[in-house]
Amino acid sequence: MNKIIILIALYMSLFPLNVYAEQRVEDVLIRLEEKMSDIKTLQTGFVQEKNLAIFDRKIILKGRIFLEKPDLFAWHTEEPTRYSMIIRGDIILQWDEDIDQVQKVSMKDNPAFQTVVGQMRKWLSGIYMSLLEEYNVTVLGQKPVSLKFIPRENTMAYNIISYVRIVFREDERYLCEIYIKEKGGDSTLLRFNDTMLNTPINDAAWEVKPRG
Amino acid sequence: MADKRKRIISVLAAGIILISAIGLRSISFDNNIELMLPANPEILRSMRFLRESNLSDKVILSLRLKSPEYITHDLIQAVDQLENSLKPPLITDVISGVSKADLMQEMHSFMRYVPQLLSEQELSKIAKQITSEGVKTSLSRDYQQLLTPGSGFVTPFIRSDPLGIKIGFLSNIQKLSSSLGYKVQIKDGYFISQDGRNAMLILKTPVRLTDGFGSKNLIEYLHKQLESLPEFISADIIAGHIHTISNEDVMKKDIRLTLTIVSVAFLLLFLFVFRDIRAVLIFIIPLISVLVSINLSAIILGKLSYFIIGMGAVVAGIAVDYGIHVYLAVRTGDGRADAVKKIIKPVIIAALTTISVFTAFFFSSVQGYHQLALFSIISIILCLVCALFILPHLLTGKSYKNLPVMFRKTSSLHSQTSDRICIACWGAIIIAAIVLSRQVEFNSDISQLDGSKQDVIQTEQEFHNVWGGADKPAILVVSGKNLEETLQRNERIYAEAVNMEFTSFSKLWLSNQTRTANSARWNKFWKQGRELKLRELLQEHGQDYHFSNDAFSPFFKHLYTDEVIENMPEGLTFFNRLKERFILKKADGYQVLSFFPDKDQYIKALSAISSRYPKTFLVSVNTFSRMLSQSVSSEVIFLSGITALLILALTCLLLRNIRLTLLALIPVITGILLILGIMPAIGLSLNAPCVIAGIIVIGLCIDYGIFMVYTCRYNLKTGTRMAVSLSALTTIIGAGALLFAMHPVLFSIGITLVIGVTGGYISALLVIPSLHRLTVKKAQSGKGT
Repeated sequence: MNKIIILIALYMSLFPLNVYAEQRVEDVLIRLEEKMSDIKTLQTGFVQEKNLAIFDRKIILKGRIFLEKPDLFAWHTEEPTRYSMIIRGDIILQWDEDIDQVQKVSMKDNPAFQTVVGQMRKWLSGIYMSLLEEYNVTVLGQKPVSLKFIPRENTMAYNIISYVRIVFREDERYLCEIYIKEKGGDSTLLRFNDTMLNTPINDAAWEVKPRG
Repeated sequence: MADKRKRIISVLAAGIILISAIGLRSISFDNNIELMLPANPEILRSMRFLRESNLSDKVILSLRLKSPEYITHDLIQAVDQLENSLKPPLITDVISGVSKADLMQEMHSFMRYVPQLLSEQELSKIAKQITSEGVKTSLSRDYQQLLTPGSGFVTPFIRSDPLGIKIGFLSNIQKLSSSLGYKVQIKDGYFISQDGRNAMLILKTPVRLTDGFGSKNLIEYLHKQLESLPEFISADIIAGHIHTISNEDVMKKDIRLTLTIVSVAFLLLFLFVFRDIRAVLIFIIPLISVLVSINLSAIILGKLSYFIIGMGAVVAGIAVDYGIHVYLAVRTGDGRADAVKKIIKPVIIAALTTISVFTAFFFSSVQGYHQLALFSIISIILCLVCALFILPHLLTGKSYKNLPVMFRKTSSLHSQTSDRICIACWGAIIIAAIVLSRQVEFNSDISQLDGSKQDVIQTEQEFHNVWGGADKPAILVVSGKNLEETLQRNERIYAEAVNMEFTSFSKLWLSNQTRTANSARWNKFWKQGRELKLRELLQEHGQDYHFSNDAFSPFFKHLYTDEVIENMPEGLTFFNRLKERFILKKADGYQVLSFFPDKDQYIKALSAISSRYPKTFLVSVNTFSRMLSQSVSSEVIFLSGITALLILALTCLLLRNIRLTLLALIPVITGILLILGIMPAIGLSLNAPCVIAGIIVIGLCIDYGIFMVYTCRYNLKTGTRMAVSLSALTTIIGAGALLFAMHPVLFSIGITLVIGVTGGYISALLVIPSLHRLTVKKAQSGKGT
């Protein structure tokens, strides 16, 4: 009997903590959104490690990302191959050094691209409050802030993604690291470096084919 | 003896009114707009298609977040809650979206059918890709996509389709899904607006648009279910059924309002002018006639249109004339029998000409006009019989005082000068009307006849602001006795229209015959050494991008298609939804639909294609409107011709004098020209109901002409001028009441009748006597000298 009382007491004492934890997730997301809300431009270097079954080795990718609100986005890789992708609204321009041709794709006509770009924007934007509808979010750590996103059932990500882990910089102004674990075992680790916020972006960043 | 007869007649009348009033409750009314359309085969085919295709029978619910404190997730929860509460029999299916998780899987499993769907030209394109350069390009694109953070979503597609052969079909699915033009995004599998604040549910119901009672039940049921939504959600219902109910409500209110106005105005008029309680009998006669006529028409026709019943007030206004003439003859004539005898001929002539006008409606191809003709003719005959044979008996035993001078005495101070001034004024008005009538326009837009309340229209506008879809596409319908035959015909048309903005089911699925041929061609294509070549090229260039050896094994595993399914894929929700939209199962076969912009250039091009294929036709709102306009115009010319001939022949036959016949036609000409002149001057255009009213104006005005010509010729002292004035006044009251109607059909009829009858009446009263004196009398005096 005493055990039951102790268990009930324990449960009762834990219950407020659960509520507190849930409140804190939203508080953390709101706080992060506030800190990132004034970002008009972003330029950052990145190193990405891809562990995919389709490849015979781990692929390490180095490059830079540029973002200018409201709808300009650029993804340039320098290693192992040079590749550029520029997104202006609905239009995607692609170029890579092997083919050396610019390809123009409309996202409306290509659902696969739509999905890929949607995912990239989602994770790189840093605005995660709206993701509460698609993911269960937990706070893994506070200093630095680390969040874990697990897809909710009946969402597009549910059958693909196992979880996504995001680590913020100390100043919480942008991300430090994104780790995506897929259900099939594939994983992606993206680390950011030399991040600059609200600094003017050189026009060359929006050119899909590098000059020279 | 006379008292006993009166009592019997009174009891009989009361009994008939009571039975007719009770009978009204059991009559089934119809507000189907098709009744008012000409029986043009193309128009009827389009209307029948729209009715039977159930495209318009669907109901859409649009849910909106009212408060910014709530997010899309709350909206989705409300959608779930509502979806679970909607049950048969009124709602048979609810589509709130597609699960995107399932959609990705479904699309992936649909990819196995792609080899059956690729044509010879598309295989040629693939052949060009199986080169060192082509494979390298494909692998490079695949590689770059796989290196983005969202690659998990595309990996299965790339592994089973390294050359991107099948990716075009994903795009086709997307295009077909948005062929109705709604701006929808799928969020968590739900239809959500671009701003994330609205959700859409599409409901299927067995209730037809034309079923007024069923529509009411359906909308009441939906409102009840919507009550349970949370406070922060508002919901709008978008459905043709609401138009049905709203039109019915507006029409019923209008009928009540106009009948009340007419009743009160008639009673006040008779009591004020005649100051005799028996004058009420004149009003009761058309009332009984119209009531009995509605019942008789319903027995004969089965169903009656609300539009026709709405004309009850107008018919009452016409039919009351005979009673007025009889009453005034009795009251002002030398003796009852003698007075009635004097006017019996012009009254019967007037009734016959009016009947002839309505008889002309039987020559029309519009079913609604037949109803109107039957209903009006019965009313007029009943009214005539009552006025001539019953009313005089009820007016006996009363010594009447003389009527006020203004009604009795006719002016005797006519000079040739005043006659000439009168005719000159009339001539000037006629010329002005002719000039103005050149601007008259015929508006054939069928939606102008929709009398739905403003809030219904506003809700739809708000819905289109959020979801788009206001511009409905045109449809090419391909019919066939079985699905295979229909799909084959659909493919041939698609092949011709492939370069147009043409959304065809052939983009997604083909006939068994074509798929079998495609499948055999696909297998042969790869067996001609291309499989081996592709394996080698993937191996060679895949190494450059570090693809593993089995990276594309899913592609080669399912490369050859062993069997071609006979009909359609099973178990794919997205496919079934598209199939429902594009393929209709009919009692005598199938119809496959294709959608394209409703613009002249496409209509012209696709009409040319359609003309080469039997069992195909186009359904376009714009074309429909044009066809309707042409059809109504030819109908109007035809009916006007018949009416003019009938009236001319009848008037000529009864008056036996060409000059008098021409005089009797003056009110008709005046009335019609004033309608054509005044309508554009006050910013109104003509429409189908106006044309009907115009023909009624002809029937009424010829009566005024005949009475005035009779009076002038035989110098009758039977109160004809007053009778004509009261006849016109009662008709104008009846028609004028329609000016208060909310329903555009009733309003159009009202305004046309008021203008036409007023013009006809004034010309009958002033112009005919003047012209008679100046022409007929002069001729007679000329002969005399």
